[in-house]
Amino acid sequence: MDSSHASSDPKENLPNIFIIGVDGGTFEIIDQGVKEGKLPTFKKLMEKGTYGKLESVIQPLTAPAWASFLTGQNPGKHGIFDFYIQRKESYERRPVNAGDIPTKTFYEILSDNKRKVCIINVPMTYPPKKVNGYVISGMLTPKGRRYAFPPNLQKKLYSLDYEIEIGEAYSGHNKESFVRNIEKLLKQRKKTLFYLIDKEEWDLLVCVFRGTDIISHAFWGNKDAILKEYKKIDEILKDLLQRIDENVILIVMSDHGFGQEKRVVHLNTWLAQQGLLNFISATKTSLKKLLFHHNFTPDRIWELVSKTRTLYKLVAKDLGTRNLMASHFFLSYSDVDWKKTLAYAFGSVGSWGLIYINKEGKTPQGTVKPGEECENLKLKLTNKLFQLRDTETGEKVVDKIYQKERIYSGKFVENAPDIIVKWKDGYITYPFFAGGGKIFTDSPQTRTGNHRMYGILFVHGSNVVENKIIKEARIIDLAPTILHIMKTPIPRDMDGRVLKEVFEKNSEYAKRKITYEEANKEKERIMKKIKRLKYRAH
Amino acid sequence: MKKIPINIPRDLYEEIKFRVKASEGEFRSVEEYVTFILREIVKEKEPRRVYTPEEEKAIKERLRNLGYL
Repeated sequence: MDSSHASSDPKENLPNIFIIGVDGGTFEIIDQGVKEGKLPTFKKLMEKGTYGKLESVIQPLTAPAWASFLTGQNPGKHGIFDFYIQRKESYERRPVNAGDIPTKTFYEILSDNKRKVCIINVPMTYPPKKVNGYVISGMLTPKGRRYAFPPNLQKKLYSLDYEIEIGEAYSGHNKESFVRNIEKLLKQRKKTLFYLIDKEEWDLLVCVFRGTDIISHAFWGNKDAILKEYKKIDEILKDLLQRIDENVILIVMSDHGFGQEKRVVHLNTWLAQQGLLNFISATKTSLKKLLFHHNFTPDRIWELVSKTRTLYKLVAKDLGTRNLMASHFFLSYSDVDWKKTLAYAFGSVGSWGLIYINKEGKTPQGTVKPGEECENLKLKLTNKLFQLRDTETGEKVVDKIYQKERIYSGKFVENAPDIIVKWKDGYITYPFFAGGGKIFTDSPQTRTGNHRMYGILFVHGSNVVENKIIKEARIIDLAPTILHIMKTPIPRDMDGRVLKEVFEKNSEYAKRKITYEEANKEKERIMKKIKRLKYRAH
Repeated sequence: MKKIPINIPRDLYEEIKFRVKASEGEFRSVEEYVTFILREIVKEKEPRRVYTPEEEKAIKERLRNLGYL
């Protein structure tokens, strides 16, 4: 890379910021790798920079965590609590996308301020925004669509064999091809990253590697397999450090940490047992319930299918058959009698449990009155959950329970789950209908790891304090910190703080006063008028 | 970026100039004010529903493969 710096206004002498996202990156693996001498670049980043745990958001899941990284906001403000959003006045849900984030991300703010940005593979960036630079969208990008901006970039990416995700699931007997595909993906991403680094000078470059997350889910019990993936990231960081000059501030971070997964809590089954979730009395649903209690559930069938290689190959690729089976034979939300249901679990499989109250006025067939009735139910549920014990070990399984109003702020708080359960380490939630009527089952052998609250943060470059451990850094702090470094006013609705302690006391970044964006009263007035104008035009 | 001049009525110019001054630095010139408004008006509306039903199914399937669903 050229030693002259990349800012469009060279007089300001601003640095270039490179961010490498290591999805699911955790110190449990890095510390082990550094100790064994397998991660020399991570060791160097520790010695020559500032590092520490990076607190994720509740719940620590890819979509909300990266949305908070991009906006510097808590999920109550950006509205992304999960991979899904419940459709308005419906019990249906749809996957989230970049258009669901209502505020400007930090890379858009920098782009608006004429900085050149290059965003590669960050989840929650589809559809790609039009920026002063490049965006290659990441996870949650549908196949066959335009995923890059500017459009001609996509043609170049074809020639680099660029792919967004691997299509294969880990079934327990495809380890070789599964790992090979993840390796292939990493190589393609690395090739693209270095091609783009060489191609232009960037004020901000962000590139996310997802393999560490995928491998950690599948092989948590096999630390050597995970370390292999981290070693590849270490090599990329080594190559990167060799190419970049002293004007670059390198940030290596993750969206959440990782830990062991052992047991599954079937939250809807528990709610059904408490009489809070009920099924319709139609014959078809009764038959499905019968099958469900005989362990005829998607996870069980998938486990059986996975055991037979030929059957797996047939079924894994036949999405139509799977969907047909799911709708005709397995219990699902369409079998729930909403008029007789007070609470239900929704969301993705993860280390947290999310319960929603079937509130009047919020859902089409709400049964619980907001206010006292709702609060009493929440209290009753919370007390019962604290008493919940694993049927096999007899141990209590709930670590903490959060009320949404206490942990989130912003206009989307009302969309957040009403009860947010943090299980003790090792437990995860199946929020749909699995487990054959049992509340607790063992985790499938194909998934041994799951997310934890604390990820990683390394900052390296000029004016960065060497060999320092940073405490209390959060994922929401990165956006305001980056804007501060780039001398760009921070929007007042960002929740994070500028991590000034990362920089030498006498450095400009530590001394410079933090500036916030002025309240844009006139712009807001104009926008309101334009909104009305556009509304009329449609 | 190359610019071209356009003419607007004098009274409108004066009105905007007044608003620019009242904005206390939010806008620095009449040109910036007018450009802001025009840009916001011609900007494409972000589509809220970006996935087709088939794509939603495919994304759900992908999340299922990753173990999230």
